[in-house]
Amino acid sequence: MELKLAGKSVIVTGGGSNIGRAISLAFAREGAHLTVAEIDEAQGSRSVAEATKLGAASAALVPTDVTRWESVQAMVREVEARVGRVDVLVNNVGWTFDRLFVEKERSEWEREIQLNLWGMINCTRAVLDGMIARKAGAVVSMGSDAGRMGEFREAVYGACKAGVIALTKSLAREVGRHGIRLNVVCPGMTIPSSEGDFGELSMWAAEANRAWSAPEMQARIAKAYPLRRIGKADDVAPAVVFLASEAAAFITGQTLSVSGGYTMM
Amino acid sequence: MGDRFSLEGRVALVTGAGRGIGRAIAVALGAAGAAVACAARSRDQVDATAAEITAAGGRARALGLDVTRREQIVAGVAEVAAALGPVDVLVNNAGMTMEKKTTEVTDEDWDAVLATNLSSMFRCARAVAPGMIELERGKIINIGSMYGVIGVPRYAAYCASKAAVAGLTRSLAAEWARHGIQVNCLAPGYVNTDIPREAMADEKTRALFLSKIPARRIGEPEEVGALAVYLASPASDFMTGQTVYLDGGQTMAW
Repeated sequence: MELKLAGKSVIVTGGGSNIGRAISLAFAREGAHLTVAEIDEAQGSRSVAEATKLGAASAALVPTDVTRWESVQAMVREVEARVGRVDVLVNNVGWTFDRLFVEKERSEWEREIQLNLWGMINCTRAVLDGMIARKAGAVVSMGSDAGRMGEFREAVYGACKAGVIALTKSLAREVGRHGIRLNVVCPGMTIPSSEGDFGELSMWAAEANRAWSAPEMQARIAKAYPLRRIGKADDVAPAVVFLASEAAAFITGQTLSVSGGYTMM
Repeated sequence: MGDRFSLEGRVALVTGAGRGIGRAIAVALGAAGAAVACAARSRDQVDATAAEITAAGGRARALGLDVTRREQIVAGVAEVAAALGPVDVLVNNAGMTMEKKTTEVTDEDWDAVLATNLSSMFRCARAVAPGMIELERGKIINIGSMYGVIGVPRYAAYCASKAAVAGLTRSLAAEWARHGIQVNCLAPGYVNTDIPREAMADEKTRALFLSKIPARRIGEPEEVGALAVYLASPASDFMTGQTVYLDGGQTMAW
């Protein structure tokens, strides 16, 4: 099928680890100009090196803190100067800290809101002017089944992801007339394939989240999924690539769960 | 990535493949590498669809099939298996629409819409599932509609049938997930086929339609074909039970 992503300018935030890394490499295989916007420069550089080998038209790391508006603006300016435009933005940066709402520190909620919601708002706002001017563009943001159904120990995270979904729909209504599409992909739990697949700033490196990696915990979680396994980053990446491509030219404002049937709505 | 969207070596059965969306889906699946059984009541129309696929270098077979006749479904699936191999992609597309004041809808009207749009999908899925379970893989794509999630006056039977298609999809997905079968619902909005085209010939209706669609246009059948390829291919192997709306943003149901 013709995805027509060769030569497109694609930004993947958090493109150094796990899902972001798989998404970056998937766009590289399609021959896109890839920008990995990452706070973890070492981890981001690894994705860039691999993307180059896999056939990206070009690949570059732009150190970026998505929670800081100045940093995001500078990143988008850099891409527009280097590649000439932004065709696709993938809002992939995400973070959660596995803890009951009543046991969580306010600082942890605030960090979740900063990374999951403000990061998406900042990056989307920063690319829209150029997309409106060119009357084309696609934004794919990572949501979560927690934002559709609610989830134990993920209250504020789920609220942020619900925010990502609602923001996507509202913006899809506002900018559809300019030929810009926005959609959301909701993974379920998606485990890194190896320790090297995430950096020390990834949520997977956080002590509170280590319990997820225990084999007995994973066996328990897998049972909750009709497909009877936990997702991998490579399960999620094709959905993002599809929604970013011209094959999805009439799809906007949609939320797609790629989570083995965990959520069906 | 391109190869994850490939249907090379797969056998697809598309109902209602004679025209419109069904035809575009059959052609797209064929172009992606599948051998396609094109089924419909009007044999001459599916002959044309199959010829189009073959002319483009694909494999196809035309099949006369009335999805409201249960014995024809069983025979049709067997015929496809014998000719092309066991079905590993089923696209339940055949359907009918009916616009009528609900006070004037007869029992026969109601039953006809439900039989064509809903019961047929259950029966086709039931007919192909044993083969898919044996293969330990399969894709079932049920064509729903944006009308399954919004209220449209004078479309009671159609809206009810399409909402039910999404429900059928979720249940089949949950039941057959362990056999490696993914079941999803593809729900188009207004697409450039005979009925919307006729309605939009009137300029006022056209303006009203477009004002409700954020993309400010209606979809093309080829765009439905592209989504069907994604849902039929290994690229969507971890996705099941979902309803995907292809409507230019018109509904955006949660």
